[in-house]
Amino acid sequence: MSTNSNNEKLKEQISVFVDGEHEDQEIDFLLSALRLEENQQDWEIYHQIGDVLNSNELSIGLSGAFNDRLRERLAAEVTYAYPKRKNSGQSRYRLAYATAAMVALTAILVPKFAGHDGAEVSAPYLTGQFVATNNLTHPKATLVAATSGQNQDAATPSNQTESGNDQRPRMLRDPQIDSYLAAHQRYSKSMYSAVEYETGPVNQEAEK
Amino acid sequence: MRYLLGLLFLLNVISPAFADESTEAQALLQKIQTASKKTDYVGIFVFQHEDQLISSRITHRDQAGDEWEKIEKLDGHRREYIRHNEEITSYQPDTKILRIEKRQAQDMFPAVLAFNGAHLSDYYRFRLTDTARVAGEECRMVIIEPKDKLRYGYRLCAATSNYLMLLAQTTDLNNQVLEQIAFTSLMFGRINDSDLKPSFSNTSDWKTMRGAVAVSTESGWAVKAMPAGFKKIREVRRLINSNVEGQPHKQQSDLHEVLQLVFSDGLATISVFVEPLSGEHHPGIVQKGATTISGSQLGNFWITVVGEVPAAAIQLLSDSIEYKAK
Repeated sequence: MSTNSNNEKLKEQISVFVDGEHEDQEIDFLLSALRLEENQQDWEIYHQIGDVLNSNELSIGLSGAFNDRLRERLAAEVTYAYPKRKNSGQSRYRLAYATAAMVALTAILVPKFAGHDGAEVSAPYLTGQFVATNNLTHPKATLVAATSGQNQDAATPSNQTESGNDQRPRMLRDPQIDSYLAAHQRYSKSMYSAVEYETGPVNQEAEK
Repeated sequence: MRYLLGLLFLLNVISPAFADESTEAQALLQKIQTASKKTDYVGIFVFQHEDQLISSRITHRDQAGDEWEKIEKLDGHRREYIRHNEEITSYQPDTKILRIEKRQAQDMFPAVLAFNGAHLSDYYRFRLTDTARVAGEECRMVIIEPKDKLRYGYRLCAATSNYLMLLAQTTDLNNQVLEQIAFTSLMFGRINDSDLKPSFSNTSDWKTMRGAVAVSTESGWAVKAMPAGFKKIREVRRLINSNVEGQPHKQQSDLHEVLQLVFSDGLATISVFVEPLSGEHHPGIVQKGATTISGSQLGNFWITVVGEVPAAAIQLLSDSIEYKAK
C-alpha cells in the first residue's frame, strides 16, 4: 500500500472517529495518530464539516489563537477519567464514550501543548521557580503523584495512550510556591533553612 | 515451654539495653540542641540537595546567653544573615535590601529539635552507632528511623568533644539520603566582635523590609488526620507575595494574607496554608529532595501543604482539612 492511500485510510478512520462509529480496538491507534499535527487538522476539519452539515451558521473557522487558548485552559483543568460503560444502553454508551474520548483528547493535546511529557515540563518550572531561588538548578524533579480527582481505577484511553504511565503527573505552576516554601522554612529544620531566609520577597513591607 | 521461657529471659536482658540506647540517643539530641546555642565556633558547612551543593560560612558566639551568629552564603547570590538572639537581619547586596525579622524556627542546623517535650520514641527508633569523623572532628552517629511511613529518618553526627552537630542527613524509607548538611571545616574557640560584623558597612541607601506576621487566634481551620505525634505548634497570619524572585520592588497589591498552621512531631515540620481562592491555581503534589508540596482546592479556599515528610503524609493532611465554625 502506498503512503498516500495509507493517509487516505487514516483520514477515513479519523472521520469515523469524529462520528463515533469506530471500533473499540481502533481507539489506541487513532489517539496516537492524533498526536500528529496534520491529523489534528483533519480532526478539526471533520468536526467543522459536521457542524456545517448541522447548520450553516456554524461555518466559522476558529482562529489558531482560540485553539491555543483552549489547549491552555484544558491543560490547566484537572483530568477526570471515566470508565467505559459497556453494559448501558446505546445512547448512554455513546455519551460516556464521547466523554472518555474527550478526556483522551485532552490528554493528547495537553502534552502536545506542553511538550509531550508532563515531567519534562514541570522540571523547568521547578528549576525556575522554587529551586532556582536557592540557586539550585537540578534538572530532574520527581513528581510523585497525580492530582486528586483522578480515578486511578478506570482503565481509560487517556491512561493507555499516556506512554503506559497510569499516574499522569500534574505540575504545580503556582508562582507563589516560593513564598509558601520560604514561609514554611521559617518553622522547619529543612536543610534549606540554614542558607535560606532569602528566597522570594515573603511577608515583607517597605518601611516608611 | 522451656524454649519460650528462654526467649522471654533473653528479651528481658536485651530490651533494657534497647531502651538505654534510645534514652541515650534522645539525651544526645538535647545535648546537640544546647551545643548549637552554647558553642563558639567558625566553620564552613555544605548543603547537598540531590546533585546541588551550597556552601556557607558560619560564625557563632554565645556570651552568657547573648547569642550572635553570622552566616555568609559562599555560592550563588551573595547573602549574609546576622542573628542577634531572636532577631535576624539579612543582607542582599545585589538588590540593596536589608530585611529584619524575628527568628521562627529553633531547629535550624546545627540545632535539631523543633520543640521540647516531644515523645519522639513513640514515633522513631533511635540507635547509636560507632563514631565517625567529620570536618576533622570525631563524632557520635545517631540513627533515627521512623516507625511508620509518614515521616523520614535522620542520621546525625554530634562531636564527641562538645556535641556540636557536624552532620545531618534526611533519609527516605529505603534509607537513601534525600538531602544532607555537614561541616567541611570547623574551628572552636574565641570569636571577636569584628568576626560578627556585616561585610557591608554603608547600607544607608538600602531598603529596609520588616517581616509582617500576626499570631492568629483560633481561626476555625483544623486538620482532622495527621501522622501520630504531630501537634500544632503555631498558627499565624502572614502576608504572602505572589510575585516571583527578582522583583522585590513590586507594589503592595501583590501581597495577600494567608493563614499558616504549623505542625510538628518534634523533628519533622508541616505547614498548612489556607487562603480564599483567587487567581489561577493548579492542583497537584510535587516532591523535591525531602520537601513535598501539595496544592488543592477546598470549596472557595486554596490549600497549600508543605513539609519535609513523604507525600502520603502531605496527602493525609491535605485531605482532612476542615473549617469548623466557632
